Amino acid sequence: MNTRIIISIIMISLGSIAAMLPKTKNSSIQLKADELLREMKRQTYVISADELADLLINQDPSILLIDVRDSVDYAQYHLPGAINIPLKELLDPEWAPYVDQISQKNIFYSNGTTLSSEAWILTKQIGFRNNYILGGGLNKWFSTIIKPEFPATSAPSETWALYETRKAASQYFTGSKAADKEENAVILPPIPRKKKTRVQGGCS
Amino acid sequence: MKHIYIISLGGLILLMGMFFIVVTIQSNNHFKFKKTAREMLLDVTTPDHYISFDQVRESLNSPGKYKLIDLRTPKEFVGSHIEGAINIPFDRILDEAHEPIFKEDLPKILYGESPVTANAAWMVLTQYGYENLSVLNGGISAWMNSSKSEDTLGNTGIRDEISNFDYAELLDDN
Repeated sequence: MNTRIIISIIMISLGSIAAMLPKTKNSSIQLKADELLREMKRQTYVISADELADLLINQDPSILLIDVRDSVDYAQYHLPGAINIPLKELLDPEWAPYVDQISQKNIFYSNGTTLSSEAWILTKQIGFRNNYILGGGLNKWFSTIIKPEFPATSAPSETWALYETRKAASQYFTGSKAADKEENAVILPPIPRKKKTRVQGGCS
Repeated sequence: MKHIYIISLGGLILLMGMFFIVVTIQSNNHFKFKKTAREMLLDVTTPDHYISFDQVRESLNSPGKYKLIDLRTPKEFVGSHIEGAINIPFDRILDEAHEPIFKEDLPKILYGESPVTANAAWMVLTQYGYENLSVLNGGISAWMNSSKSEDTLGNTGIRDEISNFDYAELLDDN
């Protein structure tokens, strides 16, 4: 008898707490302005052209490049393996499995950094994780990787080493190997939907 | 008798808990966005919040039309800035001290070293509920270097998004 009373009191209290919670206009907004500002200040979401070249050459399977320009620009040129999600469609439910997931790193890019930053800010504030941007966008990609600047003869050895690396990367991306890869239409691996993380390992 | 005591104590604790939860939720609303991500997406994909160099140049001749806000550090601001601008560093835009400036009806133009920073600040402030904000279409260095009038800005209308290369053609050359 008494346990019943206790249970009903707990239920009633929980119910009234739920009733007293203010209704939010859109429950999807998770970050607040100050938190978002702090996140932006940290700049940890920016991947440089050199880092991206490294990831692509090593064929890192954990990254997915997302071109946020419109489909015309995408059709003209896009990075190897990139998929196209025009910024306008970013929050459409059909792209949710790509944008809202925990299994891989998404790297947004555009010609500059404006569109990709917008995509990052919008997804970040909703609470999506694992999204990054290509710092400087395609312009930076071409000026550093595809057409690296020839250093001055007086430049320190590190600059020369960096130039050599970039030149080699450039050949990788512009040479026949890259062209062949582009011919075979890129088949994307199935993207797992967001799910609760389970403890890995153990006996099986 | 003892049970009634335990029950009433439990009830009291739960009531206090409820009160606490409601109070914390209310007080946390300060930095809540007034616009949803979807509404914001619509705003950013119709980039009419960008203001051209020409428009700003014209306004310099008739002061009082716009308020220019420089988002760089105070040190950079002292170095050089657009005439008539005031300095609110990017990480300080939400400080209470600056609230009156953003609440003014006068149209405000944000600019920084890079237009990307200014655009990010614009997104935060607009979602936060401030109005009458524009972004200078280009960073301060582009402003300093460009004496000529507007060039074509491509299909996005955003200076930062102009492609500097013909990517496809460049790859064919190689």
